[in-house]
Amino acid sequence: MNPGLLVAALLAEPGLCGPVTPLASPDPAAAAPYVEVAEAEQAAGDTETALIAWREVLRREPRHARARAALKKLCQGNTAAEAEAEAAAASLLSGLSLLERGEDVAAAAAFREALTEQELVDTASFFLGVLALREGRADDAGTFFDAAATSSDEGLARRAGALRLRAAREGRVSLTGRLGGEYDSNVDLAPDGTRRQGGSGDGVSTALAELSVRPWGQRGPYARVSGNYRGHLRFPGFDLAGAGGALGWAHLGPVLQGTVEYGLDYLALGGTPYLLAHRLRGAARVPVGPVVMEGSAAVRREDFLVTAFEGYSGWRGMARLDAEWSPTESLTLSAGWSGGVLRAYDLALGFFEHGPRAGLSLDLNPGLRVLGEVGYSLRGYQNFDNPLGARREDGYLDASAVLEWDVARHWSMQASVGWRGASSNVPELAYGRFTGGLALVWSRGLF
Amino acid sequence: MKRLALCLALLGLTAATPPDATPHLLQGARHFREGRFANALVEFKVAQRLGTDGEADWYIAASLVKLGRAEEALEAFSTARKQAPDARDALLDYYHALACYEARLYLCADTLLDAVGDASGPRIGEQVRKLRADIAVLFRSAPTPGSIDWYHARAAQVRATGRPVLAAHYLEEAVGLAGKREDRYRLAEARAALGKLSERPAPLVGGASP
Repeated sequence: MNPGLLVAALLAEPGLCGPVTPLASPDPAAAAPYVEVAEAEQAAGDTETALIAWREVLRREPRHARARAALKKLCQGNTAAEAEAEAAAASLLSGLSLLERGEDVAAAAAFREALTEQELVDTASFFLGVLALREGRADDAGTFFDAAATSSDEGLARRAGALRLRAAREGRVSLTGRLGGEYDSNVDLAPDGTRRQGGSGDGVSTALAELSVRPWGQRGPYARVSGNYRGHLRFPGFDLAGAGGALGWAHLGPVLQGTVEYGLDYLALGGTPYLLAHRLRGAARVPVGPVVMEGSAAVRREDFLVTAFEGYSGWRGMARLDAEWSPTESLTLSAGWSGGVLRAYDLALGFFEHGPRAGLSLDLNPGLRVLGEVGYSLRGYQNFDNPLGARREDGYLDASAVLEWDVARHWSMQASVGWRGASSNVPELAYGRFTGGLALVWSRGLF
Repeated sequence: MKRLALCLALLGLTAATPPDATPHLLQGARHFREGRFANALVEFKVAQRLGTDGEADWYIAASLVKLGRAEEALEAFSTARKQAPDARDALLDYYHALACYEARLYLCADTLLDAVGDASGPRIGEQVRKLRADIAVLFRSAPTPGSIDWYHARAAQVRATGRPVLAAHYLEEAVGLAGKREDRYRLAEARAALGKLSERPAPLVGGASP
């Protein structure tokens, strides 16, 4: 249930102790059975039903002394409890307002006050969990989401269940490991993604480990180090081993969210130093009406350490703008435009590319989701390539889909497929590439 | 939908009720349909006092289910089955099953749900299948002595407060659960306690259906 509506409903409850509107003409005979019901319910301790019955008595016989006395007695007993309930509901409303304004400390205090009302424990716990998750207090967040996940409100319980899983996998210090295997129909590669037309299919094993540190939770500075490996069955010369790190700052405002990040990446190809890259990236998300706009820009200084690829060294820039829209809670659609530019030492390799993309994220079931993306990019090389005898113009159609399944608290499975179809005005540079694989991911918040 | 069905069922039944009770049954049905279950309960109880040959007991029980008063609902259903067995239908059996489920009487719930099946429409049928699946998961393994102990203890508690029908419900569940264990844990004790009760609930299934 929408918590705002819940609170509004609680505050709007006219109460059983308000004025009674009598019928047009008194009817003491009709009041008699209500008196019996009221007395029986009051004796059984069911105040609400007794109040309703006594009110019906007074509607039919406004001067009924026992009904008036009973109503007065029951309502006096209710006054303190109702006042507390109203105060708790007001605290919840206040907490929501403060949360929207980004005043997290005050919001948490208000939500804690709302915990005193049993009816609001699930909703207040949910938002306390959200706040704890923001601050990186994953254990606290998990406890709050546990409480909210027992809510009779199915929507709230479902969202709390999903965030409980996230709380188990995040924290101020978190570790992720990923092991996988895939089939790649065309592993031959050059730094710009150019592949051989005939293709060279191979089996690939992948491994990744990443340590992330966020001392102040989802806000403020963060650091990340990672290592990865990609080994080939038939072409060990293309095995890639990499290590990298990033330092960044995250802003989590009431409207604008953003990050800026510096990173350093190192890659070895076939056991030989291959690439050293420095990168700087900024990203921002902001809601605009029913959609969320997300933009990012990155620049990367790449130095290839292998003589054969030195010409590719240079500056690479990328930018992207997307609009996200969620027509339902489980479905998010996105569409946008992305572009990139490469300024390489070998002038013939420099290019500018851009094109549209679209994506979707669909939660099939709790813990099971599918992500899909399709995009097309038109790449124009900026200089005439003498060996090729042409100025290249390529087109790339990319499509990918990933099915993610949370199999346990810290474990998930990923099945992925991808396709790239490359066309070129130099026919021998056109190719197709299919990839498909499975991976097992383990994530845990350590602190 | 199920509320509407109750209302329609009620409209069909009121022809046989005394004239003074009819407006209260109708008003109760209106409250029930609109989700005001406490108001519905009051009107059905007034109708019961004015005399409805037992029909109002069914709706009192259904209202109690909606109000989360499962144990009282079980007693009301028992009264209704004795007073007006012909007034029962699949939808009311479904509410009865919900009361059993809420009171942790899973065997009772499963028996009723099995009888309901799809008889109350596809939407209820879907709920029936879901609940039965949940119950089946519970009984994948034999019940533990601890869980059977709980039913004995609850039966003793409610019996001490003068509620023999409810005590019988818990003891019948204890008998059923003991039957699922090879050692028949406390089975004889449950049967003996049942025999001493002054009143027993009406059989869950096998009554006439309109």
